[in-house]
Amino acid sequence: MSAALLLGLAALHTAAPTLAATHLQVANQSVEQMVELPGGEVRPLYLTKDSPLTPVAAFLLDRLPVTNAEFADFVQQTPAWQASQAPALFVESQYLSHWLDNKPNAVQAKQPVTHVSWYAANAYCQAQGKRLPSVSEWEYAAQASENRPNGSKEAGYTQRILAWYAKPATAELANVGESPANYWQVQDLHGLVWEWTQDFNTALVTGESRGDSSLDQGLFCGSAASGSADPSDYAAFMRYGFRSSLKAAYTLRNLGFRCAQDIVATERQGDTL
Amino acid sequence: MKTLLILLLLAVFNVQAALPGDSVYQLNSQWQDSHNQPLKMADLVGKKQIIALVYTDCITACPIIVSDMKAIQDALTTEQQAKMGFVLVSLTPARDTPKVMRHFAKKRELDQHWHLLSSKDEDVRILAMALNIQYMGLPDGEVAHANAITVLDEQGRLQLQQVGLPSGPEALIKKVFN
Repeated sequence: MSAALLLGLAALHTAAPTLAATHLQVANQSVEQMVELPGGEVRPLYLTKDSPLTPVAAFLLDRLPVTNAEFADFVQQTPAWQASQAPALFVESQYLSHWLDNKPNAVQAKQPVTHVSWYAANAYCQAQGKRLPSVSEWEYAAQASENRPNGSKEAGYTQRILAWYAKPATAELANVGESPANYWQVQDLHGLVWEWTQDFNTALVTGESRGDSSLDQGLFCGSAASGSADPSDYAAFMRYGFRSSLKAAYTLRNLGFRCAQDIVATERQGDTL
Repeated sequence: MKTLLILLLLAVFNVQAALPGDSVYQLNSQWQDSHNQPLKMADLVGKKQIIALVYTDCITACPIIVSDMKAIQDALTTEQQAKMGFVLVSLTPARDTPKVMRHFAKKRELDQHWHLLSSKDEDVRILAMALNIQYMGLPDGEVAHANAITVLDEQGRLQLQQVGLPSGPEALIKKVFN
């Protein structure tokens, strides 16, 4: 398929996202960088075929991961989040350690920001009037291929994602926005960095009094995959495994984030202007 | 001179920057107690605090957590009582209004040593992260959550965290007060 045709197809599919961007343009500029995803459902990977789907309400999601340049702006305006200021409760010692002189260099500017903790990512999104996407929202957006809302059944889709997971982390990250947009016009959900989600650690509800063992089963690769909703989606298992290994203060070199927003909140914001 | 010293000490305790970097009281969030009074986490400085995240209409784990905390309180000496506070944080702050929390405190006979707190959902989430408490709202309105009891030291650092009282309240108290 030619690139032009791909672009054409993408344009055909953007009816909803474009509309959202137009009617929200009053709110603020950063909202224009978001797209609206309609409500839908995702099947929690760690539950069985019979378990109910998790509903996802319509929401807005950043098209791109937050860049070093954008995060540098935030840090400049909010000194409490400078590497020298942020308390140890919120950030590991590696926080923003890839910046020299407390700012990103020219090469890093458009790369996704990494070495940020969940707290820092959360604070950034809040400062924009946004929030981190929930795991369900992130997975819902990320299951779209270039052509379909759910690409997981598409030949080669999962394989492509796994190929990225298998690739050793290279010294230089690509800039954001270089990978093809998915069905929702969202980019870089796969293939660039792992991303923080609001409730990244909820999958691992251990010691839960009701002893709901099915919550735990899917958290471990291999054996658990046989009993899951979609054993072929090994990539999703890797994400769940990765997320549940995180703690909120971690700052990793391949972990960035993007923000999401409730649609209701945005419309209210628009009304006041 | 003595007054000045006390004032100075108070000032030090009140300044967030004076807290250790890994203190949970670094959280700058605003909370509300069951008497409708605003409270910041840093206001809890100076005493050890036993904290649990619960919600009042939970009928499974939460009553056990609260009973465990009461058992600890009952096992404390008067001297120890003065050095320890008890904090319940609501996982469903929209439903657990101060009035609901007050009613809960009365029903469970929670005295003045207890703080029943609620805040915005996002602030509860951040506190839970800081305490390593995992929770997930379920579609039926219930909240699946780790039912841990957390003890913070006088400056808000995590001192101890455990599920229930496997060796009884005295064992926990011994660990907390050495």
